[in-house]
Amino acid sequence: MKLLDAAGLSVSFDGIEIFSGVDFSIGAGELVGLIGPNGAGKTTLLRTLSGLLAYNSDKVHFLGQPLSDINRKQLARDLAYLPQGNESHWPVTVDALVMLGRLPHSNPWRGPSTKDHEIVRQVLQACDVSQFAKRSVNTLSGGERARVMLARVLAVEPRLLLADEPVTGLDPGHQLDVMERFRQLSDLGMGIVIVIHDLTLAARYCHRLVLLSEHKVVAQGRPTEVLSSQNLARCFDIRAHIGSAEGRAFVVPIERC
Amino acid sequence: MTLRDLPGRWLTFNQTLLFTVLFCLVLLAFVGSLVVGPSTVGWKELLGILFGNEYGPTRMILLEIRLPRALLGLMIGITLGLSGAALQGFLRNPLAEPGLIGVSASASFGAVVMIYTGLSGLFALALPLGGILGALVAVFLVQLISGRNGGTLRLILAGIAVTSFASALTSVALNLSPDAFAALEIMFWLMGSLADRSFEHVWLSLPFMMIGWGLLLNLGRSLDALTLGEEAAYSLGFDLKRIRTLMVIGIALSVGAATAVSGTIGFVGLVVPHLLRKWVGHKPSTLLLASALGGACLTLIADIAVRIFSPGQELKLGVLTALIGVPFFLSLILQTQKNLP
Repeated sequence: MKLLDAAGLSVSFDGIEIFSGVDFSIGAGELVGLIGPNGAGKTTLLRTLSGLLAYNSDKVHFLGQPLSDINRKQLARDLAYLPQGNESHWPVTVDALVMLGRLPHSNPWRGPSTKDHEIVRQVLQACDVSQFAKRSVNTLSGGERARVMLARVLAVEPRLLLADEPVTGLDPGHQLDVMERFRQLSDLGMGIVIVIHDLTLAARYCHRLVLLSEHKVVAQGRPTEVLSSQNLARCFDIRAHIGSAEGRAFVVPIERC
Repeated sequence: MTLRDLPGRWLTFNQTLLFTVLFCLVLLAFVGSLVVGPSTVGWKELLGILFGNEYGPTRMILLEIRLPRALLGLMIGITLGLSGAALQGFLRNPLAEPGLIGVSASASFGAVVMIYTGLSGLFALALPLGGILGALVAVFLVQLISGRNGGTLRLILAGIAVTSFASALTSVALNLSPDAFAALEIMFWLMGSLADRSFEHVWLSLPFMMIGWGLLLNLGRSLDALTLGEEAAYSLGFDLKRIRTLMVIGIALSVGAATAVSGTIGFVGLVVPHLLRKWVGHKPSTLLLASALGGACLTLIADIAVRIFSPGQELKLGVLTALIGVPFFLSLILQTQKNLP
């Protein structure tokens, strides 16, 4: 089933073109990696897909309806967006912050329900941050905070998750945990789009990769097809070793070319 | 599972305690505001007047002078605390205060025009009506200047512009004031006070304040979501433009009405949310109500203090809050610096 479908997306800021003519779609149960060099417009594409940029919202269709026609409160339950930067403006406790992810589902006149508490407990565990539950977010390290923010966005329990660099800043163990979790969620039917710079993780876990560069989609498809020597040279200006060990693909950048 | 983890609860045990304490303090301060003054009212007398059939001059003083004053202290305190907490939550900046968006200065100017033109001498309610009108003009201007997007920077800049212009116009009125007496009246009014107010002031300002309180209290969830930043809040289904518009109107109605009846009373809206924030776990929605109670408490106590410490030529309430507020605020800043690593 198609969750999100967008055709002919074009964005420019102050006359500077970010990208144009970009088509993008994702179905239920798909884990899509958005890759590309800095400044290629990955974040802008994600923001466009989430409806944050108003002027393309008629071209993005969620479950067949243009974003501009969907009630925002309704959309917030089905589509979750994790911005880059992991900012928390007040030093609230971790569990209180993660509970914010339940806002689209909760009744304004009641406190959080038993179900909300249960879901928060689950996502805290899934992101391995239960042990900090009562600590204030500003006492956490960058990687720990990134996991807390991920827990927050997972607490929404959306049908489509758009996450901007969810594994950046995480240690290798937690990177694997998070990617495994994404795979589990997509197996359960969630559509997930992540912006990711770690090409090895992208190759191993994503069903499909979209390579954004030169203001357009340069390549998309199965990770092994997208991560070709030619594409890496063309878009990232690197020569890389693409291989596999123990049956799993890896990409190691060697040098600038 | 401890008490604080029970589902379906808004408040933790500590917060319930905090609200109980604040509520009791407000009640005490309110009663204190009724009994303290040039002529002391005893407890027995108070109860006799409120619930029994005691008549006489004391009843007059209590019902016609003290009661409206205490009610205004309560209402204005709630307004300042609540709007300060709302604005700080919206801007995610603990240094914001309700006057920032230009409402106080404009309401003051509106009232000053009434004094200047002599209309306030013709009928007493001209002063607060002028103030409320000034506040409404301020909202209109701020909304116009700050544009259609939900940006916070332009809101602050628009507020500063409106504040500066209204203050400049107030100075013009003072400058061109025909006689020293009118100038003095304006000066005194600007300092902010609750003395010599009547029930007319209460009834005039209460509806505006209540609408304002309703709008602001309703923002709680949106302010909580804004903890995560504007984009995340938007993705959680909260429309920033709408939040900003409701907040500006809420502050304009409540603070505008407060300034219109009392003049400018500073620092309450800045200090109270700051003081109470850590007791509600920094959660903006819980802070709204806590800060409303805290504001009421502080305003009532300060208004009692001016009566005790400066009988005769009474110190203006706004002057006292500024006198206490500034050193207090400085100590808060120094404390936060100490807590930094």
